[in-house]
Amino acid sequence: MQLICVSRGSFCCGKGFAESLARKLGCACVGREELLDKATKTGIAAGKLEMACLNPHGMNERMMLEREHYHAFATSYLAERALAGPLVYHGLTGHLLFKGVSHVLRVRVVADMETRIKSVQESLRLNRSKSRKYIEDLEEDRRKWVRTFYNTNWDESRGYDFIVNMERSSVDNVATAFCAVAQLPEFRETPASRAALEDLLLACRCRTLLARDDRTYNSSFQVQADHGNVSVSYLPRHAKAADAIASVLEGVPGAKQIFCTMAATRILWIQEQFDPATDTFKHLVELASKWGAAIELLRLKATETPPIVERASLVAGPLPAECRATGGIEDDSPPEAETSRLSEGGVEDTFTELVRLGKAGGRTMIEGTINHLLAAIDRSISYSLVVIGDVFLDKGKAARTRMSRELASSIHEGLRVAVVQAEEMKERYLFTPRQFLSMLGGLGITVLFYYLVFANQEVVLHFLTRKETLWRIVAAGSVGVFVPTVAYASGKAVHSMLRLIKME
Amino acid sequence: MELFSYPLNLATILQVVLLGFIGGTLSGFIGSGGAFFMTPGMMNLGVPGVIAVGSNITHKFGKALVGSRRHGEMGNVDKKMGAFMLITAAVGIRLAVWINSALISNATAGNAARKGAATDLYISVVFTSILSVVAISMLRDILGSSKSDSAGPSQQISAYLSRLRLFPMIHFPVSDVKVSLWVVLTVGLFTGYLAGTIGVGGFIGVPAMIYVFGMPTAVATGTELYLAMFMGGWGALNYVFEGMVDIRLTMLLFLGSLIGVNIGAYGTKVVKEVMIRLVTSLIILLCVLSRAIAMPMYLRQLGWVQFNPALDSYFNGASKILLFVSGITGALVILFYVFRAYIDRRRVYATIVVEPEAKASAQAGGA
Repeated sequence: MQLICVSRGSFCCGKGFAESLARKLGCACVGREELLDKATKTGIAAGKLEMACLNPHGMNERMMLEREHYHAFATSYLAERALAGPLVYHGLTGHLLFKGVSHVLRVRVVADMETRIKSVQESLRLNRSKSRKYIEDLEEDRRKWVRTFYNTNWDESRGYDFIVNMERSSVDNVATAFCAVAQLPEFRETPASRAALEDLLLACRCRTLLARDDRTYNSSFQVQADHGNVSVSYLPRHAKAADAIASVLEGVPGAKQIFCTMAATRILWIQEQFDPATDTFKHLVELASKWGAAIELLRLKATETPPIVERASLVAGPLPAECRATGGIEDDSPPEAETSRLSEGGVEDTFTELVRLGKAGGRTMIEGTINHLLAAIDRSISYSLVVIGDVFLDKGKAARTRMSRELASSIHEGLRVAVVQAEEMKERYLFTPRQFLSMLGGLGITVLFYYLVFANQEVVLHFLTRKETLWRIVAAGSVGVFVPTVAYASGKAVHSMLRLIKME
Repeated sequence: MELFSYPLNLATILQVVLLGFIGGTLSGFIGSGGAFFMTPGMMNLGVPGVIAVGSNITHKFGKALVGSRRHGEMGNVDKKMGAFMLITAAVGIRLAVWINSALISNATAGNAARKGAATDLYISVVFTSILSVVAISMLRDILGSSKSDSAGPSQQISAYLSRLRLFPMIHFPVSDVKVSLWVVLTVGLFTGYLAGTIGVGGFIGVPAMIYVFGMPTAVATGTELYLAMFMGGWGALNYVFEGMVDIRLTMLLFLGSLIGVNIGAYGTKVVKEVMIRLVTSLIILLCVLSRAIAMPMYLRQLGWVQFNPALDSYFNGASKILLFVSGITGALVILFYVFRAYIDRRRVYATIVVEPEAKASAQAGGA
């Protein structure tokens, strides 16, 4: 079944294209306006949310919650429709609601400015300059909405499968052409992608229920689902509301187990093979304990071929090879019973251990390139740290190191979060013997500087208050060097001491 | 050397360290430098205003160097914006230093009964007038947002200025805003002047970036910290050149602030945003009141009003008590939340596992 998301700018004929395509394919068609309307009827302050998005500091705590509620509602509404039958959605960036669902066809519709200005002039009876300003303002508002919601750029081309320029073609002709595109194997539902969609629906249904219950309405929750296993994480200050999670989510269809984890923040751990017996795991758990963080596992299996992105859906059994390479006939046979990928890469064992330690933050598997990984990571989740362990294991050592650093750099740029290689993590974030020496050194230097100044106060003050110009310049230069040195030494000592007592 | 005639005994040393600790805690909590507390605090201890400002700006230089690296790692620094603002901020600082030096030179020529009264009064007037506006605006924002549930501070000023389109408009990609060059330079000048006059940079720079430029809060805070490094450095060099920095005070402030700032920063994770803003605005208001109480003292010393000189100690005492009470109370509130969260965190964080299907079967079986 098709799931097509059309991203439309203002006056680009995107709506017309989506409706025409839906008609030709015999699909349901849902627009952004319908979604906003339904959301408002359920009590979500969609209008206020739109206004808040325009204000760069408008997203206060209440609006952040409304954003979560809207996101969950919109995703569950569309996922339900998509599971019931083929669907065309037209809006701003609907495809970003379906992260991890591989059969989504992402289309962006654009048109040149002249065509759009003419459309505005005809429909709104404005003059040329006002029409242009109107379009620019609308685009700016939409850009801010996407940035606020998804922390990404609306017009980033790598976020789409096709970008269509409507300048020379008619809506109907383009829609006809896309009927064939929609039939391509890359954009047809597979058991794996359907499972991912079901997981998404389950997670969002749970989130929506939490948003509607009085006991949990005012609390923030991160919810993920994976084959019926729902992971809910919440902030420490919402711990009281978390007592109600189990009863709120009781009876949710499809939920087999619900994991509730209290976490002030999240750490994303990217690795190809997980093992709870390794030092990296121990260090991560120690760090997560210090920060009150939940650890989210992301298994990255790097490939050069077109991606299979399966967010939180660990498929039992691989797809036939010809489906990936050549786009041959899809194998519709149902997935084998729960084995293989869940146990592949040690994800299951590691996740179980994290559950036991109270640090479980969900799990994801991505098979593809660095770009696919970046596209699949949910940018609306705020991570404190991303740790990159052993990835690209089929490459040589030099290539592995280079590609890991490239991955780290891309994630840092894209998510604006601290990224560290697993072997550097201990040195940077945990207290090691080297830290102890550094602390002693910092303390020693600090004590020495303080002794020198306070034991020679008169001399120092005389040096700083001499009237001769040359001496004043020397004094200024000396302070310019001395103060940063003292600050650095004492800062390092304090920092190490706080790290020692795990209060850094 | 006459300016440095105040006593630096053990009691004073401990009070300065305490000032640094409270100022650092508040600074880590609020995101500003803490000078709004430390500068008047030192003045209450008998330190002349110019020395308090000079020593504090030197302390800010060192602290900003240590703190700005973390923000840079998170990508919350708009260096382009910082560079543009710094052009005129440097001019503003130089102007402030020149005014303070001129007032001190005038005073030491024998025009004031107490040397430095003119600068003390000048600093106090600037301090109370600017920070009272900041505090009242913050309180209005809090009351306004709690009533209407509206989304955060107003964008009216930045919207108005963007409509003006004072050419040339410059795009700042990290903050994702377009601002007129003249607006940036004017804000930079004002920020630099105030930083140089009263040592307070963050409280002016950050709201200016948010309200006037329309920058996101996280980027405004990070950029201000980045800017503070250079402004602090330039201010320190200027004040040292004029012989108005007591390096002992700077180092004592470091002792307290480097610990306090970490505790305050930890507090931001466990306290709600609206509470942070409320605590901040109340403390600033009390600091402003504390400074206002001390002003009659300076007026008398300048010969502008007449009353019994013995009352000076009462004015100073009342100002000091109010300042320390407000700062200590604020720090205690933060410390309470921080240690409560720290202790809570040490308890076992269990992942609770619920099995709805099994529960339903059990209930059905029981029934």
